[in-house]
Amino acid sequence: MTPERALKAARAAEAEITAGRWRGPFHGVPYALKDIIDVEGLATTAHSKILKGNIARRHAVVTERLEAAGGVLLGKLSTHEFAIGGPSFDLPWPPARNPWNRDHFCGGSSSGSGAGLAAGFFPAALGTDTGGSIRNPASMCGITGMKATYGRVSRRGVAPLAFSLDHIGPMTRTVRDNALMLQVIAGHDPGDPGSADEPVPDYGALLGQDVRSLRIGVIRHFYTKDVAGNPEQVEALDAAVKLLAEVGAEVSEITLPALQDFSACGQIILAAEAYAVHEQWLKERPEDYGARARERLLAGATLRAVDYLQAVRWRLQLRDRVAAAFANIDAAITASSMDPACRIDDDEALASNYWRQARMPFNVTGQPGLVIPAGFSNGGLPLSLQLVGHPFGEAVLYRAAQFYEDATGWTKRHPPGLSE
Amino acid sequence: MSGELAYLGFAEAAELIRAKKLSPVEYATALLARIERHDGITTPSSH
Repeated sequence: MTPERALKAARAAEAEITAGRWRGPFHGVPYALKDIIDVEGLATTAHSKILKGNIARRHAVVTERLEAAGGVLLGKLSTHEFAIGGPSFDLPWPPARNPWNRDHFCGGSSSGSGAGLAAGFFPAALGTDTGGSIRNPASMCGITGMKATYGRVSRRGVAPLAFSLDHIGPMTRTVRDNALMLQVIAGHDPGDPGSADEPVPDYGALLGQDVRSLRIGVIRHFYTKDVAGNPEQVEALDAAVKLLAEVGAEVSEITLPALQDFSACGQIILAAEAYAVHEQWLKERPEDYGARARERLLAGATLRAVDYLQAVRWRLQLRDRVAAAFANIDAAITASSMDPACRIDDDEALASNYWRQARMPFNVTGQPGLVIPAGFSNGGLPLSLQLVGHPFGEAVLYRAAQFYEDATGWTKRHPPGLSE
Repeated sequence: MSGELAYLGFAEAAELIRAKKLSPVEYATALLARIERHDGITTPSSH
């Protein structure tokens, strides 16, 4: 945390507002950043010994935008090493834990963002998502996380993991806050080759509307057939679908290619692209990585060009099939995680996290995915659901999510033992 | 304090800040104190 910097920013915000110069809803609002995002003058460590002492020379574009909106940065947040390997106990810093139960995993790789929001440390944070790393901690910690459309948010000044899968997005406790934060960071950046030159709509415009006549596709086979979801998680999803239908949404089941196809395709692309980023460090300083990151990154070392190219072609086919399945719906609902958070020391369950999830499909297609809380397990851990939209269709997701949040009140619950 | 400010959504906080009913300095100070109190539990800060 950087308290002196934060108080200086808070005093500046206060002076401006007192003088009648209110910049908008982010003015004077405390926030925090996953520590792979650059802040001028502060270290960006990616939680790795590799980057220890790496001081950023300028702001990332997202930091610039949040600062220009008057935000008050409280500090940097723990991440899995380079947003890929974790939770790890062999790094210079310990991993974050789940505020709902500290013996449990808080998800990753944007771990500190999810844990800190659930713990009531700040109302807004940024995470990044290459194969699900915003939406996983959102699911595990019972908060709201948006992986917006590929290209919606600039990635300049953020440590890359896989160029064609990387996204940055807002993590908050409420849907409204999430829409407001996306508003601040969304927009074209000619300096990011993946950035989209698409107009930014008013994300709050549809909030408060009901979901009547909204056409919602249910991708149920992801969590019942392709992977058998935990019964409590499946029940929560079925209940959400029932609720949407009862209030007049036009709900119908849709079928996409099997979840495993998206996972395999995405993992090949991720492994190849991440290895391209890390090859030199892996060759020169392999011992400076934690075991989990090293193992996952080395998976890319033996892939051949043809493997990558076939995966890229497969990706286009998958994207076309999903677009066809979405032709007659406004949004879809499916699982994010198949299970509530496992114990942080359960290696087998931690490993299964990578495939017992339905997040990677939308890194592969680039569509927006919004995860919100959907209740609690009998063990008191958060359950979740994911809403998926058309490219650049984030506003519809916020509309449906806001309705669900108001109808259920899940976001009003907070972890026990943190009341002071 | 912290109970109330800790779980305030920022859309609500923004209205209070704009109306000068909540000071950004007070808000940041309260959250920093809360982090200081509990960070050993969830360890979200990396420095």
